Amino acid sequence: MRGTEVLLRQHLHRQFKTYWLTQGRRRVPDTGAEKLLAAKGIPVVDPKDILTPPYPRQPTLELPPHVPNQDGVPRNWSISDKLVQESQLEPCYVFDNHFCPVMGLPQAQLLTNTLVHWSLPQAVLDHATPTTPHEDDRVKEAILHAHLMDSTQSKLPRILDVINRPGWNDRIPYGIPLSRSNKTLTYQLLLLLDQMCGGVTTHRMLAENAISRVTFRHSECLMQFEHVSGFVVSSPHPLPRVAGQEEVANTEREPMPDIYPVSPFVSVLPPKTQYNMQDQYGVSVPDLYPHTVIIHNNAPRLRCNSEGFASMTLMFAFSHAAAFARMLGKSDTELENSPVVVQVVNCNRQQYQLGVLQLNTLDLTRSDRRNLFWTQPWQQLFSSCTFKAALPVLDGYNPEVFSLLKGLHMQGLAEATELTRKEKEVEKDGKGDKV
Amino acid sequence: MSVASVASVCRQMATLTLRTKTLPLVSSSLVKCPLQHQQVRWHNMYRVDQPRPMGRLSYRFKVHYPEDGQYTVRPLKSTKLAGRHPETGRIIIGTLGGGAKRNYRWIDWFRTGPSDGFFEERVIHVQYDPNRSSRIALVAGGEHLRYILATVNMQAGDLIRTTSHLPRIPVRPKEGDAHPVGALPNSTLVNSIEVVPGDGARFVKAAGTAAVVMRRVKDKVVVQLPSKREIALDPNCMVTVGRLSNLEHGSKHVGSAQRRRWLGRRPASGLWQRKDGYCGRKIRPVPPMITYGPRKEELPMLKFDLPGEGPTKKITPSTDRVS
Repeated sequence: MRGTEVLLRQHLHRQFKTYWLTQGRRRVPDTGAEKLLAAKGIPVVDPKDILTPPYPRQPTLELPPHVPNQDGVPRNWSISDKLVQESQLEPCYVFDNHFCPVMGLPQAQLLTNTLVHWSLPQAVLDHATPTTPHEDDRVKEAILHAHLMDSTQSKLPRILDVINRPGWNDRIPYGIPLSRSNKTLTYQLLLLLDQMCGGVTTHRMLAENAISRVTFRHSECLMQFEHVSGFVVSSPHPLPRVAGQEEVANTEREPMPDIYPVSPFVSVLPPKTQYNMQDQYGVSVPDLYPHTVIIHNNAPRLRCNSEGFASMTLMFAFSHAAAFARMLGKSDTELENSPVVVQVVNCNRQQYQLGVLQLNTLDLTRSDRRNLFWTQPWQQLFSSCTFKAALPVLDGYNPEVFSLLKGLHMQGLAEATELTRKEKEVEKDGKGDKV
Repeated sequence: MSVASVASVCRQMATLTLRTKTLPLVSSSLVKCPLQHQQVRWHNMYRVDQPRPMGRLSYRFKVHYPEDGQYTVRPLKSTKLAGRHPETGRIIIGTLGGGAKRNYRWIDWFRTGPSDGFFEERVIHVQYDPNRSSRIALVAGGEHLRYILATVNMQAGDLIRTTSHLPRIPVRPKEGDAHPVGALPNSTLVNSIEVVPGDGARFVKAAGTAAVVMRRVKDKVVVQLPSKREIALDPNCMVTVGRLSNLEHGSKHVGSAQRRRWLGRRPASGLWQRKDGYCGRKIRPVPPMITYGPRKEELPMLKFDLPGEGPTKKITPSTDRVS
């Protein structure tokens, strides 16, 4: 064995690294030295004041503030940009199109101080005559037009089934977005209804994407309804009241639902501090009254059951009626004599829920007067509308929905007929004068 | 230069200053607690301090909690980690990887109620959760919504109570209610057990499991876990009454190797065989009882570092890779 041979030679780098990692992390116990020094009158200095860093820190470069486009309009302008939000001091519960009450219809009733009757008013049912075969054909044509015969092709949201097929990667579906097909179908149905009325409803006005916003103070909480409707049909005459004064006075005896121990303000989202306090009603044309509010529920998969859908319908109807009453500055005494009546149609792809709301009071904690809402369980307009073996096929068409829509559309028709007759007379007289 | 000498050098580094003169102010006799007792001696060093609220590490996924830290029932986004350490990126568990993307449901582990009364909550619905084996329940009380673990018989519309009151006589427990463990009679089935009062549920969170309140020993309450191990707890530790839901989870088969991949497991080598007991059964004694007390106040961990003296680049700890 050579004397110069190095035995068991090791590179110490790894050991050094290991020790550095273990011994560098320490919990230093309090030895009481600081107290002792302070007692002896010796000042104690933070070591950071003496041990300065080896070189000074580089100054950070501050970016200039973000400047929007020259005209101040963002590039992708949408409806949500219209909803200007300002920061407010008091938090507010904002209920928008996406809000679905977790406690269902009772929660919506408590929020809006409304009693619910599970059938449509007799006036609507009287006008809901059975559909003719011709009407059925036209409605089926409209459904096929909206859901299949449209050349729009855009990327649709994927609907995953994570429970049964976790990790399943479907192809991206392309087709007609629900927002578009809902709009088309509603527009076609309204056109058909107007044609059936024989030109009497020409004074009615159609507004699209109307925003209604109304703020209330409800049992020491600030609460706001902010809803965007698909269409609002307005008419020059208000709808006649459904319940008489006596019936409204009797609402005091009927019990309101109890959702103990949950507060009616329970929501997935916390109260907002960024909101707009300004009340707004979508149709700002004077001398026009709301007739029917049509809401499009464009979620790819409906996240609520029939009761949740009904509660959303009630909230939509109330928000539009209340915003209209606020715009006119109506007090409770005025509402007693002439309540605001609004009809509402809430639709998903197939589901249709119809209702009529009579706004009797804007005081939401009042127990002697309550608002009234007539509705019935949702109905399917059709069960499926797809291509089968390259052919467009509509299955399970339900004509009852259209007959009920007729019933809603015919409301206030007597006044409209009277107006048209008067106009014709005036026109005739004018012609006679000219001659 | 030996390893021991390097160790001694390192040991002294904590007291290094730039002063040339030694200050005679602090005498060595003042140090009551020698430094070597405070050292952290981990040679398998994959532990790195993690910020809250992700206190206990998970190598399956990292949850992106909301920035304001406010509790929410909205599904949270998560990033799959595939067995990697969230900070260093080293593989800790080699059999994880892939699988379906999951949204995280934030479970409220703190079921602490008023000490002189109770508050009630309504179960809105019981639902599936991809991140755990038992079902979860969405409950509402007042203006608040939260997720808790669902017990076997929990249904939509149930009213559940939460209280921290510790009565002299044990209460009559109702499934789904939360009580301090000292308030419950012996032989009660419980789940979501706290170990330190106010620290959040730690034990018995898997599907179909339940612990049993066994007996009282001095000022502690002994609870038997599903593994038959007994733990002695402070009577103020909160527990939920009942057995957890999804009883058939343990007996359900995965079904296929591909479904195993969907669930985030990578293929393992070799045929796994259950022991058949041919050569007899190994009888081990029940593990000893663990007594949990209040958490000790720990001194803050300091990290000593000197530029130029230590290793040239950042050390990433090595791991015991499983596969």
